[in-house]
Amino acid sequence: MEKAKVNGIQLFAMMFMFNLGTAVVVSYGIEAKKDAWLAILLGMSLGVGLFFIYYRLFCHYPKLPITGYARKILGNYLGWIVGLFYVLYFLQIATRQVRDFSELLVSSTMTETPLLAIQISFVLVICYVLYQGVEVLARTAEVFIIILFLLGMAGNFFILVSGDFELHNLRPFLENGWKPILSTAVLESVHFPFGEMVVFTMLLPYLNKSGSVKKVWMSALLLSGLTLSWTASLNIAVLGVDVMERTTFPTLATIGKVNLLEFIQRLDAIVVFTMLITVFFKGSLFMYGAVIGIVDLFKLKNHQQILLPVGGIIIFSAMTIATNFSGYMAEGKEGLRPLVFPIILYFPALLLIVSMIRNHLKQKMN
Amino acid sequence: MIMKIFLLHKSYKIFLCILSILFISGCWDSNELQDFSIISGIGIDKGGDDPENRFRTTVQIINPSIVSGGQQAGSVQSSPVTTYSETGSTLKEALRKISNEAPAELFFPHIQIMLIGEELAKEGIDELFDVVERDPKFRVLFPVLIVKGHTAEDALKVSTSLRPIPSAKIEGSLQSSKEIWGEYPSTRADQAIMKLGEGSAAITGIEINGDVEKGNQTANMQEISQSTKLEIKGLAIIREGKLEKWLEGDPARGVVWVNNEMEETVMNLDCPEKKDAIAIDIGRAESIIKAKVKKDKPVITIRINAEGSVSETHCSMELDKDETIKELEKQLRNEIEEEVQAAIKTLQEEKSDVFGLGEYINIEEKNYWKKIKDKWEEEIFPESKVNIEVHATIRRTGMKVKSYIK
Amino acid sequence: MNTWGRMFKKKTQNVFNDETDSSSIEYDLSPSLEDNIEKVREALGHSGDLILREFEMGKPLIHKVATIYLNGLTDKDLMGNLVIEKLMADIHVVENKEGDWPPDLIGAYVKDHLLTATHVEVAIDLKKLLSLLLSGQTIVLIDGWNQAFACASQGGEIRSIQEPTTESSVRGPKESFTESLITNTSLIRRRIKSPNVWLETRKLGKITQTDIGVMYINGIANEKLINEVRERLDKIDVDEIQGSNTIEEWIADDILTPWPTIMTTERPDVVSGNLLEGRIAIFVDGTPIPLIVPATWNQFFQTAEDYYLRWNISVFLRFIRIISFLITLLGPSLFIAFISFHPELIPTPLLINLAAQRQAIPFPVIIEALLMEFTFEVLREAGIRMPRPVGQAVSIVGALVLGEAAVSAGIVSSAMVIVVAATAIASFTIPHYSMTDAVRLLRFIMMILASTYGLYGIGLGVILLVSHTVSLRSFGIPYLAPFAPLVVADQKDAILRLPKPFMKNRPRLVSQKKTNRIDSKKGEPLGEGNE
Repeated sequence: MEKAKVNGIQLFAMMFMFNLGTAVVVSYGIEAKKDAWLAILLGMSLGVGLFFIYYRLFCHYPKLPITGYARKILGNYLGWIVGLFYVLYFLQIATRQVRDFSELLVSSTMTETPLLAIQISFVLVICYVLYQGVEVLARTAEVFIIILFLLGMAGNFFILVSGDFELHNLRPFLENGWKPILSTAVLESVHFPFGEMVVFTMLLPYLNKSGSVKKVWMSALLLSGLTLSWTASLNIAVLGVDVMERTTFPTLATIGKVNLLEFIQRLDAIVVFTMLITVFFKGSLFMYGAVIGIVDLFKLKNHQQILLPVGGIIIFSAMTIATNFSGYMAEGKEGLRPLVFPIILYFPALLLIVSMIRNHLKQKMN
Repeated sequence: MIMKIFLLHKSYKIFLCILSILFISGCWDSNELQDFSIISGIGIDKGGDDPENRFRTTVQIINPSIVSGGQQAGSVQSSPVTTYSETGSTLKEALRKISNEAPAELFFPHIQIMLIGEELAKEGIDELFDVVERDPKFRVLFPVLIVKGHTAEDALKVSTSLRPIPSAKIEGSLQSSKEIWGEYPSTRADQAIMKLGEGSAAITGIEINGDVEKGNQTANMQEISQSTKLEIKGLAIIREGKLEKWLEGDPARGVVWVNNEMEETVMNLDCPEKKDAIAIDIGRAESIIKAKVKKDKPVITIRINAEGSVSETHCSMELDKDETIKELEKQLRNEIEEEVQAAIKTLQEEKSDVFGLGEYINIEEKNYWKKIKDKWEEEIFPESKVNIEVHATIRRTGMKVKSYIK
Repeated sequence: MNTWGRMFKKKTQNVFNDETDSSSIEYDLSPSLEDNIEKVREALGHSGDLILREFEMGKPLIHKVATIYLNGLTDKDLMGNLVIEKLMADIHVVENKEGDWPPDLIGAYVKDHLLTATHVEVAIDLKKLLSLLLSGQTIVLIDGWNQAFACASQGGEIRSIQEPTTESSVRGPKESFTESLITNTSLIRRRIKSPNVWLETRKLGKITQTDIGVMYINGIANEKLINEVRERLDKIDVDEIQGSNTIEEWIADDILTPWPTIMTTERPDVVSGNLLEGRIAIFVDGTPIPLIVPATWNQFFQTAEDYYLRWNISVFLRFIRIISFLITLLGPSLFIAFISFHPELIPTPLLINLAAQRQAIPFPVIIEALLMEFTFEVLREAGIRMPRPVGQAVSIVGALVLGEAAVSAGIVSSAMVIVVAATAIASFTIPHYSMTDAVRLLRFIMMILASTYGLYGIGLGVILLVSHTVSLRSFGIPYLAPFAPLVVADQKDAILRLPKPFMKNRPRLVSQKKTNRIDSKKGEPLGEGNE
């Protein structure tokens, strides 16, 4: 762990952009068809539940990341293994971010560039930022959230004004009943991206005012949930459910439809930049979580020395985890499910319960 | 900070190697503008009967130096556009084969228009749009037209004045026709895709007036009254991907009314002595569709609101009196209702729901819709009752009240 | 923080070897006048501008006296009136009926009663004497007395106060600094007549012995900051100080960054404004440009003019400057990216025009861009070096003729000329040229990134730049304050400029004290911020 301090606004910025991640560009929540927005909001509420588990654990151990208090709660050996799982999870998701972004870029605008070129440059930039420490990452987030906000405002404004927004594409409400909404919320929305916020348990010890964890996390969660829900509805309203289901990057398609005054057209760049910023932060945060986890588990002196090797691992895995895009997406949906739920739910719940039992026993003994 | 890595870690050498690879190996996507042939229009025709030359594609390539402020060229020697055609089993193949003839790599993102030949349309246009959706280079906002009576190849060969790029001219006429006359809607590729995915679609047509061979020359462009012209005409009803029928006149206008695409137009009303002697400029129009299910049968109500002003009269009417205006309004209502009625009738006959009325039923009664969804176009739509309510208002009479005509 | 300084501290740059510090200077003055004079002459190598005046004082017992001064450094009238005249004229006072005065009493008498110079210092060794002599003071040596007196008589030709050349203003004062340290500090004192304006002087530079003045307002400036400045100045151990830039490079936090972390200015009103906000000014004798520390990024986009115009136009102008900054930084790169990588994102009519222009150009876009940018930099540099009458011709020739000719010859496209010209003009709106220099360098990096990766490259470049900028500190203050970390209270004067009645508090980050501007009570120092 570094000696660094992050303030509330910076943490909020990081969390918000993290949550937007790739979800703001892909067809997120579309399994619930026209009610995707509702599924997302439900997933967000479940994410609030998850947060409370993490929060309780944080209150017990405000100075330790999850790899740290896993060891305290479950003992050195068992806890170490659990910590290792988390590190591996973080690495896996970081890899997915890198691959996601390079796929987006290659399939939409730069079709001839090899994935490796984009991935290497992306990971190198992340390494540079992380080298300087989490404070620099946090301050960069502060600057970029303003840029993101402006981009988002501009994009939304143009879409709404261009007249492609047809509210009746979103009706009828509950077209297919509650079942798809609930199943989407529980199976999809909760772990992507709200559950992924578990990586922030590695960062909470840096917050300068520990009392504001609740405020920051909750506001970031709610705001990002609302944004994602709004984006999904926007996409459905403009494109229609069928088209959105079939499109790999619906937000890109939506912004492509804007054509005002024959001059404000072809605004794809807004979405590409948005994705660059959000995926950058998501990837850096996961990589940072992994790096700090490794430093914690293997008792290294500082995090700089392990940065480039971890970056190398990520680049290598990003190239090898899937050979084609369809397989890659399928793996993301079904393949990861057995891995994800233990990480975001079962382990933290287990840790919390064990920790509460131990405290209870300790109090009894006193 | 960076200096510390450089001087302290050996890995900086690896870092430098990687960095140089990135910069030296070349920019894969970097292209020069002059290496592109910018395509302004694309045409698809039926090629032959065997799978090898299923489609014949034509591209219209812009010659930028003639088109842009190249007034220094003086008299127009070379043509502002050039076309090339090729056949292939898939559109992509045919397009890439054109590179044998075209001087540079084809550049698709700036396509202004897509033309489909009538013959091909009769056989089916369903599959044509997959490449448009899938390929990132095609942007889906361009209009699609079906060429009536000729091939798309021929249509792309006709030169035009006032807008030297023919595709731009076609797109311009489409746009202004929709805005000012309102007989034919403009169908963008993305709208066409949405409609084709769900059921029937209506796509505007284009006709060549005159001799194609003469149109192929720049001389055509230089004449004051061109001998060969391109005209937007006809609305094609596509059912199950195939061209079924051409609509013109009242039914076509009815489609535009119902689709909420009517912006400005002119309606002619009768004088006591003369027919069609008063012109009303319609300034605003709106259509609101509602559906209800009564006794297990859908009832659709289309309400049209229109607003206009008197712009031309050929008889003397007392336009300063409220009653006269109310009379005219009544006539206007009937006229609009007739047009919409004509459209609904024809489409019910053709069993094509190009308006997407089914969606409105879905919005109101989704469970009912689920039951009848598959039978909608074939059976239920032709039998459904469609009520038309028109509210028309005439607000003004222009700069004069009574006409000078006695 | 001072990594560069630490690395090089041991190797001080010795231009000469240590013989300059020879023992010949470590010499205590002897009572013999001849010896002293000889030593002084030797030390200065019998320089031609060393003027010696020997005369006699007193009656009837004559004491030999000598005055030594350096021609050009002294005000001869002062010297004549206050020193020589007094020593020569007041003869009667030196009479002693009882005999000769003992030497020490003579010395004391001369110093306390005769020398009417405004300031008299005593030197007992040659080193001090030389130092005083070289400052322009007149040395008085009395035969039999082993001390020397140095009388203040600094004068000589210095530049008068003129209008600022680089930072002109329409409505504000039109004074700028000169090369004399004392004049400069006096300009500040005239503006802030508070006793809390403190000046610490020192001499830096073993050979040049340049006077450095550190000025701040006690009670407003942060003590830690002042100590930091003192420490860093102490670490400077060089032979020469060539202008304020030398000091800047020695005490800056990170000189590898393109961004300037220390502000420079020519105007006294800028300095006084910054002092009142808790910053520290460092004056260097011989340079009309003092340094102001600490400096944050947004300061480089503020001009003194902002405070003399109304607030609404100032806000507008500041926005224009920031946008011009973005144009300069990203203009050519965006152009390259769009043309090379993403022509599908350009509206069609524009694309057709651009394509038409590029038909005849033999170079790829990046080469063309680099060529034009390079040419412009050459023109800019040439314009500065040109003697003034010719300068006009160069700009006209360069801009119009070269540009036109290049386009007609088909070497560059007109669009590129427009982009380059717009970039250059935008860069002139940035008030401080140190920031302009930074942007000039950075845009080349952006262009290379754009030519390799297109818009994605520009995005990466921006991320790299922001994260690098965010990691900088200027004397402990984060460089991008008050944006990152966000200090809402300081936003009133960062990009916006609210009307004066709204700006009640000083920038919190710099002084770290809760100080109220309007109702100036001295506040308590705040606890540590989130730094």
